[in-house]
Amino acid sequence: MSSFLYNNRELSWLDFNYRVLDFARNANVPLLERLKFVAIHASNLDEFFMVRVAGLKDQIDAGYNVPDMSLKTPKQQFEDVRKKVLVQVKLRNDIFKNHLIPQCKLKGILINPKEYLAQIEDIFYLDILPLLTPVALNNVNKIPFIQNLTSAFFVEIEKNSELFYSILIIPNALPKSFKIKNKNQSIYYTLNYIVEKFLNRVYTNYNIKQSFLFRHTRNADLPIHQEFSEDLLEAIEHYLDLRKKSNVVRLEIDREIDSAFIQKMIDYFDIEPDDIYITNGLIDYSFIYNIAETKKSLYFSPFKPATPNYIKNIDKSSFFDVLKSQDIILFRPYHDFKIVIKFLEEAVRDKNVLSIKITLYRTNDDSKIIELLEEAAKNGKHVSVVIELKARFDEQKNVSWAKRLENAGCVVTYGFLDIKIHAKCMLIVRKEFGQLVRYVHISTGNYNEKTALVYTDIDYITKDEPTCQEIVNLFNYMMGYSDIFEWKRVSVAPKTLRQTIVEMIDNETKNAQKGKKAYILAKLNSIYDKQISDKLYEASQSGVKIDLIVRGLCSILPKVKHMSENITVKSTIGRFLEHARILYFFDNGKERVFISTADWMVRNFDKRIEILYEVKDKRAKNFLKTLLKLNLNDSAAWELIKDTYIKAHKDSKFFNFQEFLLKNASKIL
Amino acid sequence: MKNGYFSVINIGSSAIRMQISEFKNSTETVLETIITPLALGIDTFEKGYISLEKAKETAQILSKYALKLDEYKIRNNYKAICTSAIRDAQNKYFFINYITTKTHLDIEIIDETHEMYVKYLGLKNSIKNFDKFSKEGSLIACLSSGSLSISVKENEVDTFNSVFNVGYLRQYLLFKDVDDAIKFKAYEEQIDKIINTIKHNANVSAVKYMVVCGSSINLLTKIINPKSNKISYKALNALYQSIKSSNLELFGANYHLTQNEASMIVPIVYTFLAILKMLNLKSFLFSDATFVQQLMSYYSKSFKEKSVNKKILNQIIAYSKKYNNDLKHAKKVLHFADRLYTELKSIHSLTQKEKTILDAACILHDVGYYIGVNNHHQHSYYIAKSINIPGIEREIIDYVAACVLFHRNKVKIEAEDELLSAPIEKILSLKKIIALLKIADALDASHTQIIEDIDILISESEIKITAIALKIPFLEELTFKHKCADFLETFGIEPKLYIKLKYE
Amino acid sequence: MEYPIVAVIDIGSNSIRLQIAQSLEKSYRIIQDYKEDLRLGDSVFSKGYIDDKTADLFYKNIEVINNLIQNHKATIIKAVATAALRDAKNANHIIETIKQRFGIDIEIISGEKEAYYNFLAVLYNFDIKVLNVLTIDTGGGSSEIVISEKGKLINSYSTLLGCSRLRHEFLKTNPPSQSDIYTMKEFIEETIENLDDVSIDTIIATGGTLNNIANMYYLSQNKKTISYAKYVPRIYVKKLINTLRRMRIEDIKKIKGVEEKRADIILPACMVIEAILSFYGIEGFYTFLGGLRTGLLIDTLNTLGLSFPFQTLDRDLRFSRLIEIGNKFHFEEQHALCVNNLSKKLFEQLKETLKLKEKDYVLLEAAAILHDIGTYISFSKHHAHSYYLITNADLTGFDLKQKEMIAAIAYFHRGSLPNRSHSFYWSFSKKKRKKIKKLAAILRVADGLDRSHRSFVKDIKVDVEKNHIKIFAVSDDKFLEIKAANAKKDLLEKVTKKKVSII
Repeated sequence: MSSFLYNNRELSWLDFNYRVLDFARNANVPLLERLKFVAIHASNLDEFFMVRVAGLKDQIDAGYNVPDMSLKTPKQQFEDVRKKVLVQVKLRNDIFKNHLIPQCKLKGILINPKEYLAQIEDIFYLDILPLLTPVALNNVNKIPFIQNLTSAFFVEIEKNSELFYSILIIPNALPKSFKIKNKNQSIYYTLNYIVEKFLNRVYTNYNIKQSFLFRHTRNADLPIHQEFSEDLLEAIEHYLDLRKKSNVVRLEIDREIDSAFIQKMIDYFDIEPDDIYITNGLIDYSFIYNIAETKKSLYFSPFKPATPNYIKNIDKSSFFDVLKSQDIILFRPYHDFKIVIKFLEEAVRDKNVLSIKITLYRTNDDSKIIELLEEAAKNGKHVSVVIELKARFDEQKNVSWAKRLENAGCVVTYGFLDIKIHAKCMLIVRKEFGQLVRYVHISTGNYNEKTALVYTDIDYITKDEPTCQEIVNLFNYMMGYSDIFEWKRVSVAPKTLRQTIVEMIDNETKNAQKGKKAYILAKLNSIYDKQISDKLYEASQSGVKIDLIVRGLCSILPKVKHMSENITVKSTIGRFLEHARILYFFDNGKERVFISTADWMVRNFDKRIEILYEVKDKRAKNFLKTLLKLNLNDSAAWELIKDTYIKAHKDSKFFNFQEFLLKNASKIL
Repeated sequence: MKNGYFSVINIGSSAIRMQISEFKNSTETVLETIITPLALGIDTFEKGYISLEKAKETAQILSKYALKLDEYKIRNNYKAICTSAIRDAQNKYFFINYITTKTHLDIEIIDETHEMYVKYLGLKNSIKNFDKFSKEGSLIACLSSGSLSISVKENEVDTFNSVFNVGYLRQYLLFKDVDDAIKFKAYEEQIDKIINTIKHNANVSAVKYMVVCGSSINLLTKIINPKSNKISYKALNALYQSIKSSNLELFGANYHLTQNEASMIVPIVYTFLAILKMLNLKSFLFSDATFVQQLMSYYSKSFKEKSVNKKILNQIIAYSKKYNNDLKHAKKVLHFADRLYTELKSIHSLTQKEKTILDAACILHDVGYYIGVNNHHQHSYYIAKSINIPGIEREIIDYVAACVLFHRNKVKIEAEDELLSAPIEKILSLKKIIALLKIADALDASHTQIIEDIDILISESEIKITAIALKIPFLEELTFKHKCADFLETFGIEPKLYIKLKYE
Repeated sequence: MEYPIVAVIDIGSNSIRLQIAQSLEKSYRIIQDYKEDLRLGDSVFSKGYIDDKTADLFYKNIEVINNLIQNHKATIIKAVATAALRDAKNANHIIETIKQRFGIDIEIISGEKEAYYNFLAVLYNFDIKVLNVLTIDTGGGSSEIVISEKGKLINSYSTLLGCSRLRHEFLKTNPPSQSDIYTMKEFIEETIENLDDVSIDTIIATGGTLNNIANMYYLSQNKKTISYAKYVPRIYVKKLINTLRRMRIEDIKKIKGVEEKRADIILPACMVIEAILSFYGIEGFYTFLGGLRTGLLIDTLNTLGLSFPFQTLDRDLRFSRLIEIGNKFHFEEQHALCVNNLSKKLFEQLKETLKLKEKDYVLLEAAAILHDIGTYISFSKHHAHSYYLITNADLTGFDLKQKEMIAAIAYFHRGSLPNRSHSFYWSFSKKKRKKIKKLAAILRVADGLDRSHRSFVKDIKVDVEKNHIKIFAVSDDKFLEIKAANAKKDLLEKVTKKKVSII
């Protein structure tokens, strides 16, 4: 049996990104969507370098070489990562060049064709050239500052037999690509391509000896990752003080160049040779997002989010009435997220509603939710908004609308320094017959109308008092009133959530040991936690059947003899990003079902405020159970065997989970 | 409590707590409970005052709480109560002022006795057979972080009441730099001293039950978690021994206690242990209701005590015994006062509460003799003033004290400046009470109950008091002459005493 | 054992008084004190016998007294009559009537016996072991005078200097003619000159009238009149005589503090005491209440085999009185004595540093013994209660100011240090405030050293260095005491301006 017991975090993530990339190969997927997945893979990878690889390099430079739970030292991890990345980049180029480009051609979409260069000459002169400013390099002035993830050309030029070096930065101001129409064809030229083709027009009266395109990636300098151990943190912090100014973690070069130039780049950027990645292909795929075609067949077929039957006439009636008799459960995007917004809307306009509390994490600027909250506050309702600013890479965005809310008179609090608020819920307090009644909405996904169309998430609305009481406490917790509460109905990280999970697993283990039936089915984004992994191994060994549906990274090694035979791990990748966390424990027939915002990762358990909520309403429970079963039989899913993912079986009883739901959402609920 | 929301905030020694409840048809629904830890006690109990930082923190927390009040629109329907941490702080007035200006909340300090009473009612309402206990003899101990309050009840009256500054936080702080070797000894001696004082002053042999409340309980139950609301001496002792033998960190870890909690459990356990031992009882009952809950029930008036006046009177009588009160006389005076009160309703228009004051004054007017024969009225005044019996409001005490002070002709009410501050109508009713008291007292001037009873007849010209006496009440007549002046002055009608010998 | 309840009746020329006392071990507690101004003297000294009207009043009073006695279940009754009955022709008849009606036996006592009782009372109330004392009890018909040296009775006289007697024999008119006053003055002085001419350093007067004068003085000084023993300076007496001699009785009654019924006999009383003061060349006199009664009571109790600390213990009277008061308020004797003992040791070794005089110790001692009696009233704020009880207790041998200082010292044995809010503290002179602070400083440490109330600390050794005082506590188990003491050393550090550490 393998000497290591867990997958490595970084490699496991790369595997996930590989599955994303693979989606671009999937013949059943419309062409332009496939193209998009190439871009996604690329931008994912960029972020991965800026954060994860940066982290690894910091550890290495800090001289920290303690193996992680996959028994790999930072150095080893980095090497493996580099290998995997190079492979995937090669694969990406191959898919792009040899599969997608030709197929696009068939559909009349041409990307960087040689033929039509003449047609873009004036684009170059009018739009591009004015913005280009070559910088001559000499011993005096070193390489100019180039923004993170910005492409640039390195050019070797000659004038009367004297050699010069120059840097030509590609301005971010310009569009990544230019489109021209030719008959019924759409022709796309990427900026980088155009500039390269007209390079000699930039360096007039020079003779260009050779040139290449490069792009560097910088350490995002995010706060050091919480799942790191104490001593590591110290090591890092100490090191950060004396880290050299340069923090380049990757330098991509689009072609093979001779070692002299490699050395130059190493010197210029003050990096190591193994920070350099020769792509032999595009180094910037982001232009793909600019490709827009009219032909419907090139895209996923549009769909109309359904309204579940049991609330068909919700528009005519009032949510508060409906909720008297039943809870509401929805599954985005198959069900319409607007229902939730309608609920909020009704609350905002209902004169009996006294107060509204909500958590906002990532949301869209033109968000209807924000407008409604403003309105509510202006109507004199007590509105409290808990905002998490640490949503990676969109802090700026966050603040702008946060200010709007404050100006409208909402009570806005910004969560904690050290703990990230990941729970998503809304509390509505309403006066009914002189008595307070409370309603809560608990969701696995953000209050974001845009992502609500792409992410799959569970929405749950109830007036169950015990639940409401604890959500009230949760808000008091998040708003910094206190962190001393009893959590019975709702499990909350970092307080009780891990404990609950562990207990539930142990409970199955016990039942199995007693010879009773024991089963765990968990759908998550990622699992990466030693304790939980061990618990699951233990359960498996005691005979608990465990099915895990984990979209992203996963520390578990399933199907290992004497360790995890009873564990299966599947991963669904599709047009929608699987985001809902749903847990099922057989619990000796009680069949307990939970929804949660928390992945099974150290940071979710210990460094974030997350919710784990048991769904008891019969309908909702059955619905969730059905979902899990269907998901388990997803033909598009991958299965993890030990440390490698393989495509799930294609045989008949399997079908595409997401497509099935698109068609039948309203059938099963 | 009328329907609506009510909030109670308690600024305690180790935390600030808030509870918001909804009342509908006098049933309470708890809407929110918040605990924000803040160790004000550490400041007060160690430094003697509250540091500015802590005051700032408090203000921050409370201004958040204030938002809650706004959320429920109950800015004018709450109580914010400070306990020992503030009460004992030298700069409490600064503190209060600081908080009010920063938060615009009205916060008040609850005095020890009142605090005891709130807790007492809390227990009364949460412990089964509580009344039975206090009839047959019970000891009530409230151990909170600031103080230990003890009251001993027998036949439903307090025979002993006292608050000791040995709250578990205080004790912990007192000995925190002591090395563990003697720590236990330290706590033990500390408590044994208190136990002695209690033994010395209270009749503990009569105690059959022990009832306990206070924040200490929450900590204690964390560890013992008993099935019922009963903790046995055995369990307690076992726990104490085990703590003694194991090291605190370990111990704390076992029960998920913080370092401090772990070290504070020691004084808690020992305190209760020692009390049980003193009483030699096998176990005690407890209520784990927090003080905030008790306050909530108290201020929402959901606690009711029947026949308060009678209770108060009994309390006073019991209390007066300690000062060798001549009860024969006192009760006689009480009786006359009662007759006068009932017969002269049309004239005096005194409230039930003022009757209570009159009654109490009848009992207490002569206790001062114990301190000294000269100026006994002043001593009576002093003794009355220093009554601290849970359930008897400060106001009542003050007026009773005033009455006993003025029950002798020596002192005239105008003389006493401290009373001139009182509103005029108060002074008037006070004068009425005194007038009645003086007459009643005069009617047993010889302390020999020569006059058995009186008849009262009102006419325009006079109030005819016919005394049925065994012999000629020479002294009574004399004193009556001296003492009826106030009555005439206050009621504008003259009382006349007529003697009717019983055997004629 | 059951301690009996004792009733003593004292039938004087002015008033008739009853005192009922619960006797205790080494002490007693007055549980009933009844007084009516009967003024038998008026009738006797004018008519030579007790007229029917007065007699009737007399009987009524006895009836009340009898009721009170029965009411309190007093088992021992002692009734004595002085001058008035001594001189009344119909005394026997009266006494017989009372005996038959109420079964109360009235003993007419000689002036010497009266003087003796008085002496007992004085002995009981003042520490006269060290003094040469003249005690005078001015009654209505006579004045009983006792002279003692260092507590030893030298001589006792029964003089005719009774106030009522003098008033009736000399002051015929109202206002009195100056010549009458003059003849009275001469009569008084002649009588005084018969007393032996020994050196007297203290004059103690008993009897209602002189006590009334003392009250008048205290009122004129706006001092509390509650105190048990009072001091009256001679100047005041002189002043008083000069104002009274020209006044009509009606106007005298109007003077603040004058007891109506005594208005006419204050002048003679003044002149008697003034004569004595001038004879012995003393600048003032002490009064205290109920001399005869107290003496009578003690004597009665003695006959029951009960004796008092000042009679038995060979420790000085002052001390034993402190213990009695302590007992009265159920103090923890062991703790009190221990703290006193430690205070003494500290005092001895610190008095130079603190610039304290040996005699200041008596204040500390009293405070040390009584510092906790307040707990009888209530444990919380007991230092304040101690203060009150002490100021109102009858502390033998301390004048009012001293008593108040003792109370103050006891007050500061715990809690906050003297500050603006302690108004009583600021009523003292700067000098006295200093003293209080110093003594309280000692008391605090001493109290701390017996925090466990178990007298662990046996002895104390004090090292005074330049700016550091080291106090070594000798004890088998002293850890906590030392901790507590260190917690209470604040005041000592303040007054010595040195670092203090208890080791």
